[in-house]
Amino acid sequence: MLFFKRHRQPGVKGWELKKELGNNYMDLIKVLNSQLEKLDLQVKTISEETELSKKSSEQQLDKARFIITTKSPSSIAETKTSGWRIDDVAALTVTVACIISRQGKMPRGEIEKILKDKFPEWKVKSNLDKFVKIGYLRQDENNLLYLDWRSYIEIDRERLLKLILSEGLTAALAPT
Amino acid sequence: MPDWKIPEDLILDAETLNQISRIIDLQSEWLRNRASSMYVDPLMIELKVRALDSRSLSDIFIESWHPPMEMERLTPEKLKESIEYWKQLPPIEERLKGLPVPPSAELELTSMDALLRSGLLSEKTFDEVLQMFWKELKDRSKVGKERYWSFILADTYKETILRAYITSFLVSYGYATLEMEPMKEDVFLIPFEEERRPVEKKRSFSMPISIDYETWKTMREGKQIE
Repeated sequence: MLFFKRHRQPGVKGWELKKELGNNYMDLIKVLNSQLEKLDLQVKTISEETELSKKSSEQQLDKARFIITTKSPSSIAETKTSGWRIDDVAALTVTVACIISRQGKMPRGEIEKILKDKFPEWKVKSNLDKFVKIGYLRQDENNLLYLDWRSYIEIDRERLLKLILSEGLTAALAPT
Repeated sequence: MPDWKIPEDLILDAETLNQISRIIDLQSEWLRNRASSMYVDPLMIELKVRALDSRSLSDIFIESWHPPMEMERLTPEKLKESIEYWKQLPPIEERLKGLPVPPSAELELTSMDALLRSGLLSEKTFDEVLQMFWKELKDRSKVGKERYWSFILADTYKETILRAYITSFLVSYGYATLEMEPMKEDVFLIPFEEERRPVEKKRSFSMPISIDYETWKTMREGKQIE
């Protein structure tokens, strides 16, 4: 159930797991998690917009989505040919990092301005539309961009920021 | 307190206190964010990402990326099901032949007059009927909600349809709301104590509920057994 997609979204809702596995489905998820760990996989839980904490209520869990992801990013470091162009990944990284640094929201115009520094305008617009469509970003009626479910599930946001901040430092300390 | 001469002074002071507490709340949120490990100066991030090339940015992304695992394949059960479906599906020509001839009389929207004439509504004004239903729903849902089918179910099919029709207005006009419990596949009506203006269009949604004769009969029999 956890591996199959529903309506283009991976994973399964808590209430669906409850229906199939019974009321103690969270205990089974814990057991599954310990088994998946051996395969370097994990079950992640998110509500519609954000990652759920460990103390979530039963009601929150029922409405949440359960998805299996890789546990450590390093194991897939070599899978760089996942169908994404390097420019698209770079644009996504910049967008996500800027949104996190602005406390979770940022006007689309400002993101476009930063991205247009290196990419053509048509590319910037199509990239942002694509990120919204596939669930990395959410856009409201005031053209503010927020992170969406896929960013919460897939991206270790803290690590992303640390890596960006340390990147310049690494370059500066590198022997010339 | 001795300086409070008129109630307006008290109201103004309360309003001021409310605004001050809001500011403190926002300041606390700001402090929490700055103290969290996710806090970084936005300008610093902007400068960093502007300085990095696409290759470095992609490497950073991959190092913090946990892609979801998905399976995109058909299960043997689904294949079996689809083969059965294919076997039982009549040729398209036959299916087209079997479609019923459209009725000669065209469908048209009903009006209040038509409902009154057909006896679906009484002489009471529609508003009175709505108020009556609202009161009945409030009386019947002592625990805060009432099962939708229990509320609309009546002795005859015609009356059940009428009750469902009026109930739909209770929800649309903001006298009650619907709640669905996907686990039990049940729908509940929750009456409001005060009439609420219909929510913004973007937040509202429609919930179609089929009330065909067979379902009514089953529900009716179930109630009689109870």
